[in-house]
Amino acid sequence: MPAWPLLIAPSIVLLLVFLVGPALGLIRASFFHGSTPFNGSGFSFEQYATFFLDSYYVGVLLETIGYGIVVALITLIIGFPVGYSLARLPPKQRRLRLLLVILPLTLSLVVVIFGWMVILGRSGLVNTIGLAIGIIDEPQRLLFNRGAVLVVLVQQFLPFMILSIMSVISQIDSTLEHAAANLRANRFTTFRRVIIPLALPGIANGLSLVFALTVSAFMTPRLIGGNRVQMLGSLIYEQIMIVLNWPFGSASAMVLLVLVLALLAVVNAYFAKKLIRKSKPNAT
Amino acid sequence: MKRRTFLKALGAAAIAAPLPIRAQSKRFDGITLNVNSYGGDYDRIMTETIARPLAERTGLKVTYTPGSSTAAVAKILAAPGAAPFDIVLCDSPNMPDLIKAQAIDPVDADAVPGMKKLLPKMREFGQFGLPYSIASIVLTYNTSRVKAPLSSFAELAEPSLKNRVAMLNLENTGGMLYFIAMAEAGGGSVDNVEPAFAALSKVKPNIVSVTPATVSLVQVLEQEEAWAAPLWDGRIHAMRKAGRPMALVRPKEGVYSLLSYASPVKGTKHPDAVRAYLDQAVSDEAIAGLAKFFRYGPTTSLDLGPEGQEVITYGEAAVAQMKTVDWTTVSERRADWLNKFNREMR
Repeated sequence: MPAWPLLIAPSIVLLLVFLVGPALGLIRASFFHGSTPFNGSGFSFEQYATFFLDSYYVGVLLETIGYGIVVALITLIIGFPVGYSLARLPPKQRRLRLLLVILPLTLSLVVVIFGWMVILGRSGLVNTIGLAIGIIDEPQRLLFNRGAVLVVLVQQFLPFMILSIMSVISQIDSTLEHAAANLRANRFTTFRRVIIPLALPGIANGLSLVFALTVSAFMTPRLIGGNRVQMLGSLIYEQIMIVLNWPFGSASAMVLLVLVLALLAVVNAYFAKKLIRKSKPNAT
Repeated sequence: MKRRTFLKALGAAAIAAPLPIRAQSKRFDGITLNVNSYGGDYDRIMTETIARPLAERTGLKVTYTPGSSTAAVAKILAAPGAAPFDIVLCDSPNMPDLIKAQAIDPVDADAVPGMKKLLPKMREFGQFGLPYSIASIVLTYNTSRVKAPLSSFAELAEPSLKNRVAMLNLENTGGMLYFIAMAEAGGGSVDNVEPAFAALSKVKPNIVSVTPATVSLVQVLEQEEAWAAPLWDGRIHAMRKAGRPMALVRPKEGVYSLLSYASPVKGTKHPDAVRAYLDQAVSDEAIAGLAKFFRYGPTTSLDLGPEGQEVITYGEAAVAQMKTVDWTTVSERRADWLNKFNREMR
C-alpha cells in the first residue's frame, strides 16, 4: 500500500473538521426560515430572496466587488516593480528588503488601522507635512471616505501581490531578457512581450489573493470608512454578531463565497487561456 | 536510632499531626472558572477585587478571556450545553437573547447574599443576571473649540458644528441609547422610533464619522477630527483625567443608561463556585473598584466618598432619574432599526 494516503490523512481530517464541516453548517443555515440564532429549521430561499430583491444589499455587494477589483489593480501596479526588483536582486541584498515587505503582515490589523487613523487625522502626519510645505492652508479631512479605505486596504494587501510577483519573476531566467535585448527589443518591448507573459501565473495569483482578501475585509471599512463605506464583510459581521440573524448572515456569507470562487475561476480560466495561446507557437 | 526507624517515626508523626500543620485545603481548591472579560484596566480591577480575594479565601481560580461581550454571547449561543464560559459578562442589550435561548441560569438572591444590597431598578430582567455596574450615555464637547456650551443632544444639529460631530452607530449600545433618547425626546418610544430618524436627519450634515467602536470615537475626539459627540460617561472621565478639554454634560433629554451583568452560564460544572464569584462581584470592594476607576455607577448603595460626586448615576436620587429602556423590545426591533440606520446614515 502506498504511503501517501497516510501522509495526507491528517490534513484531510483537519480540513474536513474545521473547514468543510462548518462550511456545510453555513450552507444549511442559509436556507433556514426566520431570523434567530438558534433552533433554525425548514428549507427556504427567503434569505437569498431578501438579499437579491433589496437594492441596498445588491448595492453593498457591487461596492464590495468594486473595492476588490480596484485594490487588486492598484496593488498590481505598485507591487509589480517592487516584486520584479526583489526577484532580480542577489539573495543577500534581497533579505533585508524582503523583511521590510513582510513586516506589516506581522502587525495586528487593529494596530495598523489605528496607526492610519493617526496618520490621516486632522492633526496627523499627512496634514502636518502638507501645512509645513504650504500645499494646504488648513488641515483637510482625509479619514472616513472611500479614498482612505482604498489607501489602507492597498497598504494591507500589497505584500501579498509583491510576494506573488517576486516568486514567479525569480523563476524567469534573466538570460531571456538578455536574448530579447540582443534581438534589439528595447526595455519596454522586453517587459511587454517577455516578462509579462511569463509572469502571468504570478499576476493571476496576486490578483486572486488580493481580491479575495479585499472583498472579505470588514475591520478597515468599519473603522476607516465610517458609515459611508459599506462592504459585505461588515454586513455579515453585523448580522452574525450584533443582530444575531444567523440565517441571513449565513446567506450573505454564501453569496460572498460563491462570488469569490466564481471570479477566481473566471480570472484563472482567462489567464490559463492566455498562457496556452502564448505557449502554442513554441510547441510547434 | 536506625535510619529506617527514624523515617517510620517521622511518617507516623506527619499523619498524626493536627490539621493546621499540614497544608490547608480550601473550599474550591483545584477549580477554575472561565469568565469572558473586557481587557485592560477592567480586567486588572476585576482580578484585584474579585479573583484575588476569592483565590486567597477559597482557593478558586478565575481565568478571564478578554474580547467583546457580544462575541462571547455569540459563542454561548453557538454552543448550547458546551459553552466556553462558566460566567458571562455582558450588558443589558445582550440579556434578552441569552434568556430567550435559555443559555443562562437565574441568580437566586438567597444563594448570593450580596444581592440584597442592590438598589431599586437594578433587576431589569427579573431573576436573571447580577448587575454590577451602570454606564450612561451623556454629551461631550471640546471646550476649546465649541464656544457656546451645549446642553442637549438636539444641539448637535447646530450649523456651527458642521462636520464636527461624531457618533456611535446602532451596533454599539451607546449609539442605541442615543437613538432611543432622540426617539423619546421627539415624542416617540421604542415602539415608534420615527422621531429618532427625523432627529438624525437633522444631525447628519454635521456628522464627520459614524463608528461602531467606542475607542475609535474617542480617538476622533482626541484628534479634534470631531468636537462633540454622545459618549459613555466613563470614557469622558478618562479623557478629562488625561487633560483633554472635554466637557461632560447631562443632556436635557435625560441620562440613558445600561447595566453590566454577570450571569451563570447554563450547564456550568461548578455552580457553587459560580455563586461564590457572583457574591464577590457584588461586594463593596469590587463595585467600588470599577466605580472609582472608571466612574461607572455602582449598582449597590455603597459609599464612594467624594469621588462619588463625579459619577453620573451615583446615589438613589440619580438612579431614580436614570432612564430605563425596554431591552426585550429593543432586541426584537434592533435589526430593523440598524438596517434603516445604515441606509439613511450612509
